[in-house]
Amino acid sequence: MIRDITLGQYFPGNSVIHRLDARTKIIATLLYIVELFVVNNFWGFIIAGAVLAIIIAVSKVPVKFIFRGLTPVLMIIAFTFFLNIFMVDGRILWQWKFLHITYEGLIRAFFMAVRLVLLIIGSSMMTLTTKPIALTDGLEKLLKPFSKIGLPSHELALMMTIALRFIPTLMEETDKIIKAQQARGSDFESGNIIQRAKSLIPILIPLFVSSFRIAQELALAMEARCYHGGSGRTRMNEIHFHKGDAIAAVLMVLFLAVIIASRYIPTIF
Amino acid sequence: MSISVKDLTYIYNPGMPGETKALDGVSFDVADGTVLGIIGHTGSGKSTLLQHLNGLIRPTSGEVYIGDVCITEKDVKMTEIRRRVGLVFQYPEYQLFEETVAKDVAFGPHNLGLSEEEIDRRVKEAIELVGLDYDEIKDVSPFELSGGMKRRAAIAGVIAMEPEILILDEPTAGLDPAAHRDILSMIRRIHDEMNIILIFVSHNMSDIVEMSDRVIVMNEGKIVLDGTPREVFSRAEELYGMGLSVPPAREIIELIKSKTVGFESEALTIDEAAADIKNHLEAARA
Ligand SMILES: Nc1ncnc2c1ncn2[C@@H]1O[C@H](COP(=O)(O)OP(=O)(O)O)[C@@H](O)[C@H]1O
Ligand SMILES: [Mg+2]
Repeated sequence: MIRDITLGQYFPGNSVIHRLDARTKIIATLLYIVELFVVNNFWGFIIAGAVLAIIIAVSKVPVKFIFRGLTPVLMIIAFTFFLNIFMVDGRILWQWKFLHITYEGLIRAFFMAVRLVLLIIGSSMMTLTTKPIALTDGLEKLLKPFSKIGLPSHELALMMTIALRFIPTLMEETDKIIKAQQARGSDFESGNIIQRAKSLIPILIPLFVSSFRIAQELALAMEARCYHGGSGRTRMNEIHFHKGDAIAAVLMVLFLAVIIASRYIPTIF
Repeated sequence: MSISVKDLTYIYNPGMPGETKALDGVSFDVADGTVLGIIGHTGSGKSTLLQHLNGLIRPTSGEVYIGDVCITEKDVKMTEIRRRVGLVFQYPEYQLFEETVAKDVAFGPHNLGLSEEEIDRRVKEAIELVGLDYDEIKDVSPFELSGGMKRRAAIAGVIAMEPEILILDEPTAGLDPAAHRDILSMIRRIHDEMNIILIFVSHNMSDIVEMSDRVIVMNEGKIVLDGTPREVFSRAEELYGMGLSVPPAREIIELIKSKTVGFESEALTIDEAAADIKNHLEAARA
């Protein structure tokens, strides 16, 4: 159940994608997300989907594993889908009292859903193929130039490292607490929405208490090892760009050009 | 009440990274009134096994019977199983959440849908049974108690459901010696007063000897030894091979045996060891 959330998880491997520099993958992901909003027609989505499919195939991360990460956000996707269907004005296809479905609404809803799915899969490909530590190292390096204007890049990266590091721990903790309360006969699966919300209290309070305990222990452990912020810190493993990153950069530019061009392909819709 | 476990196998994350076979063809029966101790090194599958006994985990294959109800079948009523089989997790104090101890202990009985009077009676009884003073503690926040008291309050929360089978996963882990002794004698008292099946996991071999009628040894998801404490702890070599040990008294006895011709002893406790050594010395002097 709670363990099924694969968002933000790392899938160990040694593919070309895994070996790319984290910075390359962060930039590529951001670019991909922007491109998803540049796309405005059917062809563009086909191209964006195909590119993602190739990346998935090359990364050798099992498709099953990727889609499992999608299930928790399915509700949100479904919600935006229905919102779009009913909210957009245009040529009316179906009407019942104040509800109406339009041709434009249907297309918009469909595009939005596809966009969200690609966005989530695209960004989870980054986390699936990059070790959390590499990811935050990459982020810190990318943000470094902004520290001149006062952005605490090291602190931000550290916060992210800690957050990523403790996601599995907290999930494990949640799982344990849920089971312990289930053993005391609590039931999360039935009842109306208020009863269900109430049944979360016995989980959330112990979880908060545990989080504070874990945070305090971590702070102590860091202090005991003389951690005192980012200035002057060196790294054990410096990260470097390689040939693969150069190739990836070329492919990214190419992909961007194709996506922009796709806007001008006439479509049947 | 009895328990019957048949060919239980459980795999975590099947087909995913981190796939682990935590249980591998585990079978055993437990008769009414038994105190069953379970030992095994960390990761040998003890906790996974315990969670099958009240239906928190559904097995990959195999069956679990509580009395004559097969709880691994699809449509059994889980609340009924949870009432009959009380499971106290490791570090149960981390599951406390209510404003007062009394309210927290009442959480389980509430979920069973009992009447207010019945809940009050059970809460009072359970708190007294774990050795806490009801009047003194009922309105105190559970977060203000000491470690050992927190754990007792948490155990009371399960006792208040009046289970017919009580299972405790490492109930003495992380306690100081005094709290350790208190919890152990408390468990003993609960077993004797409620006359139930008691199953507990411990890494303390002396506790296992002191408490159990029967011991199961787990290794890599399998039951490798199953018998009385005397039977199990006579297999010292095998136990050491699995990263386990024998009770300290037995360790000393084995050492003496290896250095003393004609000294025989199967002692497991300090008292037994002392008696055997005394006998040997007296026999030697005579
Ligand atoms: N929630 C879980 N998800 C994945 N693997 C688990 C989980 N819980 C336990 N395991 C694995 O199953 C095996 C047995 O664990 P467990 O039953 O906790 O053993 P024990 O209680 O004897 O220490 C271990 O290898 C452990 O890593
Ligand atoms: Mg365990």
